[in-house]
Amino acid sequence: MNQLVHICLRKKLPGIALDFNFAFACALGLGLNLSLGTFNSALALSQTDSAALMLAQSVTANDTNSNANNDQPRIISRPQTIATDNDLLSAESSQIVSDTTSPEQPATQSTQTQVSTGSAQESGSTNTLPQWLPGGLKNTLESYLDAAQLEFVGRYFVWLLAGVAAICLLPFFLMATAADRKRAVYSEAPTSQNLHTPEKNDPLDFGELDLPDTVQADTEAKPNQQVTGSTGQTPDATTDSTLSAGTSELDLLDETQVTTDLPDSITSPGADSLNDVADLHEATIALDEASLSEATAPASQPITGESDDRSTADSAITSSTAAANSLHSESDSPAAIQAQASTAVQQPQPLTRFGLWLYDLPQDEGARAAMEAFLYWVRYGAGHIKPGLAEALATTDELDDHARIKRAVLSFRPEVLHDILLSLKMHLDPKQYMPFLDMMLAILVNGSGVKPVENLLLRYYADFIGIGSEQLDFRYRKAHGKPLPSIPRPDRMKWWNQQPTADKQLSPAHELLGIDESADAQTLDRIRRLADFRHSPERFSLLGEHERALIARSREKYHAALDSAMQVTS
Amino acid sequence: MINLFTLLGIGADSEPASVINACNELRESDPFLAQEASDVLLNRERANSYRQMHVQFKALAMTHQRLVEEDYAAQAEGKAGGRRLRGKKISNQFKDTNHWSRRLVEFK
Repeated sequence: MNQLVHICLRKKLPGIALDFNFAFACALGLGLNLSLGTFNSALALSQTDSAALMLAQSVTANDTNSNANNDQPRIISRPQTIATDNDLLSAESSQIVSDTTSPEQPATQSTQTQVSTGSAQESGSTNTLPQWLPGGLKNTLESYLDAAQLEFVGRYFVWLLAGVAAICLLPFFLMATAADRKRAVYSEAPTSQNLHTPEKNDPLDFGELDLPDTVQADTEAKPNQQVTGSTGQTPDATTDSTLSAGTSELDLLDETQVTTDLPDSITSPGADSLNDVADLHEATIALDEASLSEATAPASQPITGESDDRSTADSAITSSTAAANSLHSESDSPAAIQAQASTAVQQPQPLTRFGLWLYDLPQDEGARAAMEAFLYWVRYGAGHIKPGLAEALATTDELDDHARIKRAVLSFRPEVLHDILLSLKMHLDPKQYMPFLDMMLAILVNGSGVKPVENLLLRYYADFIGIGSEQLDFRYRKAHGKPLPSIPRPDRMKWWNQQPTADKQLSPAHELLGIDESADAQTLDRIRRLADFRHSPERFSLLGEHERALIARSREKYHAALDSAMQVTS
Repeated sequence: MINLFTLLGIGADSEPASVINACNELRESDPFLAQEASDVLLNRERANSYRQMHVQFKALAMTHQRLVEEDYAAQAEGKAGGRRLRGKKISNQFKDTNHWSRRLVEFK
């Protein structure tokens, strides 16, 4: 039982731990009661034996001294009830006397008096104890306590019981409180005050966080018009043909994707946002009153990743905020403002128009969109961006949900990640956190190993949902058969020198599986078993149909790659 | 992860010539870091990977501050743990097994 309680506490399940504790206390009480009953039985037996012995001695003495009724044998036997019934002493002990001795015997009278005195005392005090008490416990109390004590116990029995229960529960309550306190200690770690000291031209200067609120300006910026990475890659000539595929369906598993450098929009601050100003009015109209009241809360500040982006704050959202303020003019009173300020820190809000859209989706739809957005964030962040996709999305007016998510993610603005993670918390059931992690391990990480960005974001997600690196590494090992590499340090040459170098070009199938052409059948069989485990449907039963379909597609892709590799091997 | 762009005083999209100049300037004060920055940023594969991580660190710094640190700060001030979003309790169960605050301070 203690093991179970410790497991629950270690897993931060104090509620369940207390349930276990309650069950433990109940079991303890029941066990105690049974023990007392057994003890009482033994006690009754010994007392009855003592009574019988005394009776025998009395009878012997009486026979010797008075010589009365010499011919009549006296059988002193223990009544049958003694061995079978634990509820005794008062009635049975007197019955002993009546059954085994004749009433006219002085010794018997003495014994009867002795026993019946106790019985009278007990019967007089029995009334003070609660009637619902088990007989064993009641008799034991009556055996050990005098009348005054019994009366006291009877009167305050419930309180005494509550006190015992409280003492039993107190250690576990203290342990749970200590766990909470330990978490609170984290707040003494470096905070925003020493994490980001605003400096001129500091790319991490997020501005003053406590300014009066406006809903964050649009950050669902259109990606830059050209996917020209730092190495000068140009958009694919087939941009038009990829448009429909890129904007209407998931391409997380698309084989045609290539790893590209990040779009310029990521590294060129200030190039986005302006194009979406006109669209924001439409978005703000859709906000319901609750959204507006939350949008006016003073907590959400325009936080931008680059100082230049502050100039792109959206006037439409600002005007909608003003309108919202006019709708809630009663909240302009100093008391209301102070109340808002006091609760502001506890009401995180989306910072982008895309975030507001995610925020407003119904639960299931929001969960699907949030998961999809995070998958895209990881995948695109690792450089798996289809050539021409950003340009296609930038020039498209009609956006479905997938395209909307892609466009927001491709802006790679910090606020978008904030909103995605917030939406995950908002829409996902906590039971879905782990299946979603397993899903990412299945469809994002291929056999060639985890990319640095994937590693980083998986680690952050694991901490974000509260499981930590140890559990993440455990699940990664189960899914891929090898440990998760340590957190990447691409700023250090020491880290780069430890990275394997790709000597030769592999086929897509072999690259997906993380093997070369020399892999034998045994290796392929092991990879197939791992892939089957990663994609086994029962692991994702808590996710939606959309996610399960995506996993099924990923599984088919692995099977096709394995079949292809098998042909090469054979 | 060190923010090499801040260290060198250049933008994330700077041309290689700017990187070389900045590294040369840094070499006088910190030759080791200058060499590291040069080796990373003047190699195409490494520079691309570094830029990808830079984007993520920038995003995580902001997200971590908004979603985690402020919540812990609120708890330290005696306010109720966790937050509410549209009436739904958003419990903060962050488990800092990767020392994010330290990493993000280093990134700054």
